[in-house]
Amino acid sequence: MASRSIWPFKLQGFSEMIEQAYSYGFKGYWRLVILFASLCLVGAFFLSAWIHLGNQFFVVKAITDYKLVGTDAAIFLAALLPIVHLLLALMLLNHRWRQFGAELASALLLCYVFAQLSVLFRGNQVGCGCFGFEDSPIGLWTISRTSLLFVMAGTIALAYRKSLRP
Amino acid sequence: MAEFAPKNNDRPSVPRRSAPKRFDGQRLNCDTALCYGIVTAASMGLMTRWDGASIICSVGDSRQESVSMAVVRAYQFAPRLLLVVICFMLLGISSRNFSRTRTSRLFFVTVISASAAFCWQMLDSSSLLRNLDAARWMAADSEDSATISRCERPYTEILNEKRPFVLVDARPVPYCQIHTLPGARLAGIELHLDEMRLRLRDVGKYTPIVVYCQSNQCQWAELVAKRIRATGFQNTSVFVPGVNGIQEYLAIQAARVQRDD
Repeated sequence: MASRSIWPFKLQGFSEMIEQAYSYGFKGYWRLVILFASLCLVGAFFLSAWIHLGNQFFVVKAITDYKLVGTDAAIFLAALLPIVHLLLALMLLNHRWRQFGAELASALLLCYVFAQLSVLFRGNQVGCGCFGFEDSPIGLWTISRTSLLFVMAGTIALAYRKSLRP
Repeated sequence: MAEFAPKNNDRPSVPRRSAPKRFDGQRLNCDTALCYGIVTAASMGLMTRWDGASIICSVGDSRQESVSMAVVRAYQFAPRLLLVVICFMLLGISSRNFSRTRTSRLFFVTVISASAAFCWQMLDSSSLLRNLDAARWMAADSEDSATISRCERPYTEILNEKRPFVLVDARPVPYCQIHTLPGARLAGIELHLDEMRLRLRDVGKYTPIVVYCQSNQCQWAELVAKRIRATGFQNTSVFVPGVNGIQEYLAIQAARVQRDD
């Protein structure tokens, strides 16, 4: 019986997934899409966590530049958010936590989208700070990127709901 | 007594609790997941221009320096990597035992993230909680619109002016321990304000202070220069090319000396 798993048991199982995609048709390709979205999110959260954990003072400055929270709240968030990103990446790797991790990730990314939109509407020129101090200033590119990650996380969360299971 | 003993066929059937349905029935494979984690971290590390990349690309003495920098970074990141592994294992254990409902999972994630963040702050000597003064200053700095003068001229021109100035190294201490310029004072961002004042106590308020970092990509120098100016030193500027620019000057000097010999 063909395996129903979309998470390859071994790294060289990717070819098996492609075979499953052929055998399952649309549902098989849907699994590949979910896997690709999971890996993208894992990579994005790992990268963000690694960079931010190496430059915590810049994270404080980046959060303060948004002018949404006070000084102490910015310090608290700068200490907590990189760890949350790291945990989200680990949860998306673990198949038992993937649905919950995707739901949390989509909620967090939605907050980021609203924060960036608020900065844009106020006309402030600040850097995104999503992937370090050299990241692009907040604009169409950063909002699109964050929205895309939100859509990916939402897709993974929805795919694990009973009604949508292949 | 034997006639009253229930036979195996008469044993009342207890409805078995149905296993929770999952999207896939695969059990957690730690090797696979760790492999993915290591591959992801390594690829992210190379993409963010770590010293791993510079080790591959550099040659000769610069490779030796890159190896030293990589060792320093590995030493710095070892406890953090351990924390990542512990978090991963705790997630794996909790998924089997006490995380059945969304509420319990949310509670568990909140606890583990708060604990991990606290441990991280305590492990790192240059963390926010252990340098609260610098963190508050950094948060307040975003409202400071005054800029620091930036010096992008070659180091030779600055030396040719023959004016006394004070060099300040804005990099964190582990990087300064690998090499630092002779006569430079160490005043990284993680330094306490009082400690910084102590290191510059013999410098006049109008003496030119030149702050440098590793290269023009580094933002530490500007922030440290603003901090120094905030403590009362009026003539502070940033040497934008940083250590890389100064090393270029030193290499030129060494080549000249060799040629003269």
